[in-house]
Amino acid sequence: MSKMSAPPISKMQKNLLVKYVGVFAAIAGATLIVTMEASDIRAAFTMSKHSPLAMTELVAEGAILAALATGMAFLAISLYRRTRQLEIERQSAINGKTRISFQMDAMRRHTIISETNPEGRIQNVNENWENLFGYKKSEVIGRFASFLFEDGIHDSGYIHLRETIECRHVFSGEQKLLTKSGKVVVVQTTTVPMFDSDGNHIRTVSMRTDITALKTAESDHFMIALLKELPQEVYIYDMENYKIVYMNDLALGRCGWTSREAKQRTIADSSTLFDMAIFESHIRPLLEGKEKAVTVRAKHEKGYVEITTRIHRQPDNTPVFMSVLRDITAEKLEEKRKLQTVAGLSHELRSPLTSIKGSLRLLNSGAVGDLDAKASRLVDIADRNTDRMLTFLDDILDFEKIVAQKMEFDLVSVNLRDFVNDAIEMNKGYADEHDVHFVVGDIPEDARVTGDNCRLTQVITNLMTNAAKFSPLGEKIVVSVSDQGNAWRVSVADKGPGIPLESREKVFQSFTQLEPVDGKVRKGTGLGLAISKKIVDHHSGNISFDSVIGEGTTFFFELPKEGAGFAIAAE
Amino acid sequence: MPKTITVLHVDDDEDIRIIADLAFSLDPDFELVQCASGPEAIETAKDLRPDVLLLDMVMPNMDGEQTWARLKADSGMADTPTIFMSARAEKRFSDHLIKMGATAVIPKPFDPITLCSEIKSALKDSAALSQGRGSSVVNFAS
Repeated sequence: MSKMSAPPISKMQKNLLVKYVGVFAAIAGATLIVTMEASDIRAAFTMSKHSPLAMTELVAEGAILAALATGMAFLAISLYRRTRQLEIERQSAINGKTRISFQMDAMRRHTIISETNPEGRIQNVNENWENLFGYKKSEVIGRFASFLFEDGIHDSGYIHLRETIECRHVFSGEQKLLTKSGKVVVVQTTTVPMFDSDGNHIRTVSMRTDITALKTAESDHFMIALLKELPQEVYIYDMENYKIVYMNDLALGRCGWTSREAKQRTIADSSTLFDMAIFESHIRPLLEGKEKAVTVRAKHEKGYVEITTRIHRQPDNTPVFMSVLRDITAEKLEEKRKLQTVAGLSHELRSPLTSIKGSLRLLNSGAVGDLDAKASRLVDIADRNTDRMLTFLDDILDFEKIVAQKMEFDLVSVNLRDFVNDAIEMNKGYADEHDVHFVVGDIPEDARVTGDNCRLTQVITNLMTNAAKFSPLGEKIVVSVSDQGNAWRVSVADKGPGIPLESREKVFQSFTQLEPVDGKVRKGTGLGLAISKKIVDHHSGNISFDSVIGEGTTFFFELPKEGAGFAIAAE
Repeated sequence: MPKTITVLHVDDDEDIRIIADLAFSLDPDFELVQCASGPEAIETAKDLRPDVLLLDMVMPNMDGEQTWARLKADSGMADTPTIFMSARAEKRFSDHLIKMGATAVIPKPFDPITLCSEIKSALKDSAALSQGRGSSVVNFAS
């Protein structure tokens, strides 16, 4: 640091000495004069008794003496004062020097200090610097300080700092720097270029204060203010043992905890319906980096919620889980209402359809008299289309049920060989109508899955009837089962016109019928495959097709083998 | 069966009653009596003492299940074979009725040509089972 100037004090002392000597001489002189004057005055006094002139002389001498004495007194007082002032100044200067050196010492102890050469290579760092950044002095000496910055040499913060120093200016500002462990710290930095007496840049000193905690608190404060008022429950908990880090007001309210109590709980305590196994399987894609957010619908004490969970990085880079709960009780009620409406509609339509179908059947059977050929044909048309309507109603209801997750699944062990044979038997009539043949292909004897027999039959029937609709007349449609490792694949292969692979997505959408490749439109509701997909999804399976235009299509669905682990990978 | 089987059919829809009437006319073994509502059926049943009850499920004011309960209680028809006809397709619903002691559940729309034979076979199964144990388990719904 700067040198404290000692000369002023010694100069002052010199002056003081001079003044002392001067004053002493003055006093000595004065005393002499006074003494002389005193004897003169005595003599004059004696003589004044006899002469007026001698009296005048006496008075004059007296006045001179008085003036002299007063002057001396003033001089003495001011000299004393001056001496005292000097003493005080001297003392304070000493204190000042002590204080500065104390402050310097304190700063060295508490501030984070580093020095670089004009090129930017580290020359020295103090202990605080080592502690903050996690590097030992020996690891960093000689290196460019750019490794502290997120983007290294290309970091805009680093570049700005270098430019400022090169322009011989002091840099002062906040920096976000990287420690050895990868943690981010926020520091308040002052970097000073130092010059020798010739103006050459000889070194650069950086002084830093760690304000990470302050910044975290600020960021937390902002986020907390934001989350506090959110009309959704928010839970932030650590990734190690799910201990609560933060809960917003709504969440605290539902759980009935204070903020302090919450910090002693884990996310598992937030609901009596919490299931750790289900929770851990839901967050797995997050941990594996496969998903940025996972959503699940669940029930808790106050109703239905949709829970979205993410991994959130705090300002110091430590990760935590953040779950936001959206109340969907109203939505659920709406879905329920809609389903009831659809079910109600479906029911309302079935009653008149009963009468229509009944009438047509009675007419066509001859039970109420014979019909001529033309009339009979018309009745057939009416009958067929009534069936179409009924199928459509069934499909709509099925679809709504499955969407509202209200479709019931009766899970049993299904022997795929029996399953396929039954399906072929059931759809024989349909095959005859379309002049095609369903044929059983290879089916391993022990092929078994766990599933709802009725709903799976619905799926295979859907695939088989589609195949029949698109198959050329007289052709065979092969239904087989193959081993796919941890799943069984049920395939329905036709020799129809084929489906372009670009249509893969559309095929399974609801109310969608593709433009057939051969140009012939077949009748259908457009819901069949959408429902089939939902049923297969529900069985943790996968449905898709392979196709070659002009040669044929094989639709297939895969189901986990009985006893295998849940869920197989989608195509 | 030696004598004709008396069927009490209850349905609020007139057209369906006409269809059913035509359906039963195809089989001489059956005699059909029809009512348009639950209360009417309860009155009729007191004197009629039908052999079989054929009840529509969804009816205004008193539905099929309620009508059945009243018939069992008021008219002492607890043991009469009862077949329901319903436009509600849910398996769970049919299971519930069977569990309560219904002989069968026929889904709507029904086929008038085969209605009588369906009812006959349901009654046969029911009779055979009741010789051994209790309720029959016939469900025409898939």
